Amino acid sequence: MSLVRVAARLAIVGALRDVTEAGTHVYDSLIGGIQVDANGDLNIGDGEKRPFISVFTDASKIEKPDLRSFSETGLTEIVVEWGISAGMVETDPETFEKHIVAGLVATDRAMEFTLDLIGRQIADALSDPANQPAEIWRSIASGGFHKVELARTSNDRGGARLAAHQLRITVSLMNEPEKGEPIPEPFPELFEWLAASGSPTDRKIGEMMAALLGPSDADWVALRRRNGMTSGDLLAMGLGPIEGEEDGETPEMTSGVLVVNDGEPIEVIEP
Amino acid sequence: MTANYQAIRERSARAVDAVMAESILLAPMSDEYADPSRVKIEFKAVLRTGGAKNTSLNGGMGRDWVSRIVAGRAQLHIDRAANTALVCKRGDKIQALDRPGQPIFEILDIDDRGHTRLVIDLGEA
Repeated sequence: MSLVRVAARLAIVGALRDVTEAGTHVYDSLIGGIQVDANGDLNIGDGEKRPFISVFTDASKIEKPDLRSFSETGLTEIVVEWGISAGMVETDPETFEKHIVAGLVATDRAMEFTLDLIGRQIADALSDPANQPAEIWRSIASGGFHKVELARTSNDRGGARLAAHQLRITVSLMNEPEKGEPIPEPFPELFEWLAASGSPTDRKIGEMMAALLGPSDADWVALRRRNGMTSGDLLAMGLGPIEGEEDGETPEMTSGVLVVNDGEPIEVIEP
Repeated sequence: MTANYQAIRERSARAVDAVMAESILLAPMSDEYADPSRVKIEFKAVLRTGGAKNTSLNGGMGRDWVSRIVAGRAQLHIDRAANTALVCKRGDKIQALDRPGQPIFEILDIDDRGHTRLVIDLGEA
């Protein structure tokens, strides 16, 4: 229902790629389980053994929207989860030691430390003035944060020693870009950034989002669209353009009558 | 003091191991570093791996966590009578030498109160 939610996820994922200990293991709405095979390879990304970050847009709520409008995005929960399991750390085949990074072996406390470190790296990346997708995200999160929650979990019940952190940001996102209206910031930048992406999926997503917004509508059509108005609603507000709007058809204006200061009416005809 | 069934017990463990046991390498670790006070040792034991389960990060099915992990617990059953000198500790690594990929596990916990076998719970490593 929302392009803003898509944009928020894309921008956060882009902002976090390659700037944390998770490297390229940053995922948009990852479904299914992360697994390590018998050879020790991860089933995600390039198989490189690293922690992962996954970004989701969760519930959102809009209280008392305008009439029948879908254009508010409201308070949206953005969930960022990152985790590390013993299987996500490279094992030295001789010593059997597992180094998260050279010199830091995968003890419980080192795993927890790595998660805290990634958490800080996430916050730093999203606040980094030089990070272009982070700037797009900050523009999308125009209403500011309402709540920031952090949770952690760890267990070895499932057959892997693992720990994870979760950041849940309740944020007031910008309104939806309207179909048929000028495309608001930061969507032009987002489309440009996606078009330059090395990922064909990113490029296609950009194209499909831009196609949804389409060419500009007349003002009254845009207003009606934004508020989900019936043609009756629009006419009752005195905003229906001319007769003929009843059946939703708006004929081309070909002539009109101009009256200036009670003077003689002047008929204006399309040349 | 030994129980009367000791001989039968050991015979049955030996009989099962003759069929089911596979080559296992134990790599002793201390706080995730190789433990210099113990040496790597190869022995035979029964390794049972179950189906991998898809669980939420908190180990359950709760909705609070979205990401999921697939992993399976494994158990190593060691004949105590045949490996009296064997010392295993939590955190030690186990490698299944006969299996494709020679997967490595880590010892999560040890049940050493049984009289026939040392039962070791393993997690993926």
